[in-house]
Amino acid sequence: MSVAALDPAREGRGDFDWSARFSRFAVYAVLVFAALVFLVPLMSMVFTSLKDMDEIRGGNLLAPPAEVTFSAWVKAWSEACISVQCDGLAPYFINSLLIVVPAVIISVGLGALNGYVLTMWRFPGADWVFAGLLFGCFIPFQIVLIPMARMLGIMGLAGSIPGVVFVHIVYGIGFTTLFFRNYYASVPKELVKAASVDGAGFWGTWWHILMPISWPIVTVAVIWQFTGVWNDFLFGVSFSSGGSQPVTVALNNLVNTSTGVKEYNVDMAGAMISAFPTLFVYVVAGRFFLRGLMSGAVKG
Amino acid sequence: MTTLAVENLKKNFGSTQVLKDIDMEIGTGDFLVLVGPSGCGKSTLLNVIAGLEKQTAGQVMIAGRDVSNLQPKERDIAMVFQSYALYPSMTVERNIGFSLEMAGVDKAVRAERIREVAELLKIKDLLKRRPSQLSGGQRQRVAMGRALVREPQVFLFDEPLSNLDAKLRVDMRIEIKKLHQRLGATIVYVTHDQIEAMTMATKIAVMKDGIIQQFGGPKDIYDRPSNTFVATFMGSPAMNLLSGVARKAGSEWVVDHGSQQVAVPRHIDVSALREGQEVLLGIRPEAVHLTAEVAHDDRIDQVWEFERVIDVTEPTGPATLALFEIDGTEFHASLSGDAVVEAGHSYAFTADLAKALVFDALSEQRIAHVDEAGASEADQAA
Repeated sequence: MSVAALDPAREGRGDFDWSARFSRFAVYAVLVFAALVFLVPLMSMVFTSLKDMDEIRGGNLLAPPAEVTFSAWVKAWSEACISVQCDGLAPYFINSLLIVVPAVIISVGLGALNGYVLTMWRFPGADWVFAGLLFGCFIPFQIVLIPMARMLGIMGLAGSIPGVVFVHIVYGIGFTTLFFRNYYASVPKELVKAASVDGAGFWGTWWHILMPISWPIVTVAVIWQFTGVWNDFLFGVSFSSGGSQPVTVALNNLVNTSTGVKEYNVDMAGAMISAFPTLFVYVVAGRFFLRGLMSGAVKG
Repeated sequence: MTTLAVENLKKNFGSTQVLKDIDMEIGTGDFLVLVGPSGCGKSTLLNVIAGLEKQTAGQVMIAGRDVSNLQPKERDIAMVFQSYALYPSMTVERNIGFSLEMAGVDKAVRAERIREVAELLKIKDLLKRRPSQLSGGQRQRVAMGRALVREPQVFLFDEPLSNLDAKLRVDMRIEIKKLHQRLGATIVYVTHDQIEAMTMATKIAVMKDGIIQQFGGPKDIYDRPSNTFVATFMGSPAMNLLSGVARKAGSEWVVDHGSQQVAVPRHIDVSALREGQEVLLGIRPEAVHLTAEVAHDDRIDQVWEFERVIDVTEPTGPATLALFEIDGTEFHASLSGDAVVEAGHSYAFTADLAKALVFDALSEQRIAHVDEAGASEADQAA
């Protein structure tokens, strides 16, 4: 096919290239199918969350709601009973925010600082430190659960929001360091030399010279960390208790309640409420995310 | 007055000696060019002077002050980098004023200094732009502005023109030279381009393998290179070196290179020559003329005449370069632009020996001239 496409004699004669046409069609067919696979369940969730229980019991899973009602959303947010309390997901949603905001800011900040030191202020053994951090990225969460629980106990952070934040920071540093190190590796060293001649010190160079050109990679690191921390269930369920649980754990408790009637519409609404922040971050920062991922390959 | 002195400077990277015992001194207003092939240590030397690299041993003195252990910002220097290293996120204005900002200079004073520098470099219209919106030449000017605004004791330039196209490079070369003449600034300038070195410098240090091969004025370096490396590195096309043996023919010394014998020029101190010594005769391409063109030029005193078939000609406009072979050695002649020569034809050439040099083939050192004889004897005694 490629030979035919390159053949100059065929070009410009107005010949219709059927094989190219067909492969184009096949590509789109696959893409549309893949999109449907992802969109249909979402559509079903949205529809179900907007129905009342009578309609769910009597109707089709994929049918749009006959009568739109937001009562399931209201219930999931502020009235649903999770274990013994009936305040909905709202307090846990706030817990998640209290976890995710400091965890993201601190882990991204430390990653940026690490990347800066590992590229611009190299010290003997820097490669080993970086290798160690990289290794940390690949340790499965499950392995560290018990030692980490013991650590948090010693530090007096067990079962608290700061404890969960701490764990996420420690786990996040490896990735954020990797991002920033690779990004800064493409920044000319002469910039740092120039800043040093101009009288900027270690922090001044970082703050005035490097951070203002780091926004693409900051976006990448923030999205990565935000989704990772927000969607985390394992650390949340292991290291928090009762009032300090994140929304993912609360959602699980909500859905898995074994008493009474199963309220599918509330479950669906709760799931979407829990997923909303990550969706929001992607939509807002998605453009920058792609640009940030590409900027390593295309210099400048 | 000595503005910059480097004493017994050594720099090792691991077990590699990059700078071996560098000693030099320049005065206020000097334009020193460090020139040499890549890897000769010239950029490292500049970085050590700037304080961006720590020396292994030795001292750097700026304006009489030992700055060897000071931070770059405390050394009273400014630097222009090869890539310009303009801060991408800042406007031209802030780029130029950044060092003052870091030094905590008052905002109004800063603005005034930036304005002065921008006027001097004719970049007033660019102050609000960012580096990405500038052309190469404009970036170059901003980089110089950033150095000028600090009014340092010494300006350091690290191959600042090598990222510009040929025409712009010549323009900026002149501009830097004008600036130097106008400000009387002391400059250390690194380049691998011997033409930049010759055109701009008041002093040249030719470096190779971490050693200063020769330190002197441009004319000295060109006319009296201390060894074959300096002789062939400076000048384009490079100086021709013919190997031969020194022989005494009657009262006259000659260089015998097989098929022909060339008289040793009168300005060479023959007392340093030994019968049978292996030597190299150095003749610059521009000293070789077509015999037909110099026949009546009685200013030429001592000559060597020969005939050769030209292999290649390269007309450059102002000169026509001719390449031929003499006993297996490539030989360049830089003939007048109007010379009518053709490859494959034989011509009679006359080499003017007034500036010819003789080198010892083994040590590659130049044999002293008569007017330097005292010095060379003292050297030998030492």
